[in-house]
Amino acid sequence: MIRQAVEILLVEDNDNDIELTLHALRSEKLGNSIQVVRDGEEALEFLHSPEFRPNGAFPPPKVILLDLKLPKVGGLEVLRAVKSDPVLQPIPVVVLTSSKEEQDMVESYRLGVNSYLQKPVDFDSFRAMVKELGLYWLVINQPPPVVVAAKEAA
Amino acid sequence: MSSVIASRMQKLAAGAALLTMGLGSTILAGYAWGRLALAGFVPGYTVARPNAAVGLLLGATALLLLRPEGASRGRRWAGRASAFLILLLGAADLSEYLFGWELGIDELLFGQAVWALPSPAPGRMSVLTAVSLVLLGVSLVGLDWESRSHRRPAQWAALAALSINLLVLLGYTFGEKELTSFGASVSMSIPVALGLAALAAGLLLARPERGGMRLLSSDQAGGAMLRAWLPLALGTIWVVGWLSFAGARIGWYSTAVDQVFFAVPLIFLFALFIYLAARSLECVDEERRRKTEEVEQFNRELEARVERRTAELGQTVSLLEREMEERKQAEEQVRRAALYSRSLLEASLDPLVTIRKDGKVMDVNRATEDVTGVERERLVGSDFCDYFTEPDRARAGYEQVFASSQVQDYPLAIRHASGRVTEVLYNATVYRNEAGEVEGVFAAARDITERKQAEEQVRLLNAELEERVRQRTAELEESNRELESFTYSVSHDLRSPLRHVDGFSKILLEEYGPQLDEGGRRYLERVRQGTQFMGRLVDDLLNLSRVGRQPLAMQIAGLATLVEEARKELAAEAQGREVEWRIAPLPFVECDPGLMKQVLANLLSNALKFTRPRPHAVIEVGQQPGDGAPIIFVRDNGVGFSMKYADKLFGTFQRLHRQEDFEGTGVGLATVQRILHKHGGTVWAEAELDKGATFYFTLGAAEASAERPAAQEVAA
Repeated sequence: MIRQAVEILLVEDNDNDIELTLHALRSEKLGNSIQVVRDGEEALEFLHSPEFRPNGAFPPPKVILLDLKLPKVGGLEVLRAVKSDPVLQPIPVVVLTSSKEEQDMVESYRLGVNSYLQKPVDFDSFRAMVKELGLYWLVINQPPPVVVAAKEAA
Repeated sequence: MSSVIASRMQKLAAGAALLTMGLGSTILAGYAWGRLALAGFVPGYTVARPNAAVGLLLGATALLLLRPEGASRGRRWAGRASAFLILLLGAADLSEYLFGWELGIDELLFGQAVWALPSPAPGRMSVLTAVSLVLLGVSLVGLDWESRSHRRPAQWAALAALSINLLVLLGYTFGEKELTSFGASVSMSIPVALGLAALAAGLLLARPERGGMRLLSSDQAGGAMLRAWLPLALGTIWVVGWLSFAGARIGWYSTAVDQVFFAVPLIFLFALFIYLAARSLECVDEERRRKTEEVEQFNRELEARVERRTAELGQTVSLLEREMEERKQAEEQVRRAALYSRSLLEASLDPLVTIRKDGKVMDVNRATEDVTGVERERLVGSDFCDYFTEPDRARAGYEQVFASSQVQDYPLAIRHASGRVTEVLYNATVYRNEAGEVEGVFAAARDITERKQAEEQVRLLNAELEERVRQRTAELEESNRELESFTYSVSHDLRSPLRHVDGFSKILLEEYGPQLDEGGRRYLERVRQGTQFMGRLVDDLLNLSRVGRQPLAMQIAGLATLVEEARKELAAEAQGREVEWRIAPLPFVECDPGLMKQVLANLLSNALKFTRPRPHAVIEVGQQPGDGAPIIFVRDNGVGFSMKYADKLFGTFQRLHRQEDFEGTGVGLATVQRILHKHGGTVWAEAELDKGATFYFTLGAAEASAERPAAQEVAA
């Protein structure tokens, strides 16, 4: 049951990564409405909840930050499910992962990912990246009209 | 039958026998039907007696049976039996006349009709008939009997019978009754005289090539003359005689004159006959004389020629003798040469054979006997193709030689009589006679069984090797996959904890820094430096392994552009330093531009790094001609290194400087080398401690590596 609108959906299983990502977002004042899910299954459950359907209670998230290495349902599976669902398809998905494996990048772009980022080891660089990411997708970028329609309906 | 004439006479004999038989039958038929005219022919003339008719039938039968010379034994005996019966019949009647006996045989047939005839012994045949029957009987019985002097009494008997009966017929013709009975009481009838004359003539004709008849049947001049003139002369006399007698009887002239009439034409006729005969004899004689002269002339010429030839021969004989001597010597030489060649052929371990155009074997050597298991005597003249597992291929082989003069290494398999098969290669050429015409094929076989076995072994070994290569490849592919999954894990899993350590250290430093003293803060900075270095290390290693796995994306690229791009990426490192770049014109090369940029970036980065102590850094990029492809170099005036350690330069994690002096992961040059090796190129360095270093590399180059064995060694 979702009680409030969600701007960022963070799909991440590692506690450390969750904490570091949230820390970076918060320090840049971007962490107001973040939903964290711990695996792919949970992510798809969340996205398929009736509140996000057209004429639902809340608009869908503005951006999904997706790790690739996830228990149960993997990140690429989540990406495929989102991009093949007519309702969810417009939501921007940013893959945020440790891997720079070419096959992952190729597959992600094939499935329609909107951005692909590798987490740098250096925390300063990571924080800078998260800042730019949040600014871009939450502030600078115009969300797709479908999302707007859902918002208006709410 | 030896001649056509004899054959015709034989047929005449058969005709005579049939005529006789017809006459005999007519007579008997006359009695049977009560019309005695049939038995007398002319009314008022003597009527033939049944006995005589029986004699005619028997005689004709005997003649038909005995006619063919060399008739079957049974037929011969039947004929003789008939002849004997005639003899008996004639003898019986004759004895009745001579001794006045009455044997009662004369009226056995048609007694009633016979008794009515006007005669003291009405059924009895005439004396002349009886005599004729005896003569003919004797003649028939002894038809084939011949005296030592090749005389045939049978012919004399037949001739006598013929004469008697012709006289009787003459008598009838001329109307002289005395001639028809020879003074006996009973005269001979016309049909019987005709029949007996025919029978006698038939007897003579039946053996045309025996005794006196030889002349009549001869195909030479005498025979021809006899056959032509005898009937003519006899017929003429007969006709002339008849005419003169007939004229006298009618009363045109007296009997005396009739003899003149008879004699005068005869004189002329005989004169004519003799003249004609003499002329034909003269012709024959003249012909013979001319032939004889020709023969003599020819003989003389022949003798002259023989004499001449003998003289010539005498001269040539001595010449020939000399030639013979020379020939003998030459032959001896030829024989020796042939023996020598033969020994050579026989000494050959290869089966040798010569083949005629029709595919028959002409000659073989000992080796051929061994390989086929067949002796030379049976091989020569047999079909060449019979000794191979594939006769058709063998035939195609020698036909090819005839067509194109030779074949080389033509593979065939010879089958030994025992069934053993020998694999061979045939080399064959045609050979020619002195006129240059192809006479046959000379073929030599080379046993390649051992070679085949060796080839088979090589093939097996190869197959084994290939199998091992396949296994090894599969193993390698498997380990490659493992390596990939390992690097993936490293990429993902190893970096995460590093990130966490760095992230939390940073947060700790920022948020709890004031609560730590200077030492604590410094340690935390060390933790962060360690994790960040390890992050770079992991990234570099991943890059190195990716270079190994990625296929090259080759295209033509300008090295100058790539150097410029690399230099821009390194701008931060050169910040605030005095660096002099000397970039010479560089070639366009075929390479993977992304990887080539990595090479240049690594080398330029090193150059920048190791010139850091220099107030004025000089970094030079240029090319110099190589043996094949140009050699590119990057030279600096940095700290250099000792060539002692040059061999360690390109090893992974190998470093020649302390981390405090020059940072680095020790992976950069290993990556450079790997990229260049992948391009088929190589890299090497020259340096002197404190005097700078130069890194050389070449690209691409199958041709370069071929011409630079040393470089290839390094590359390997």
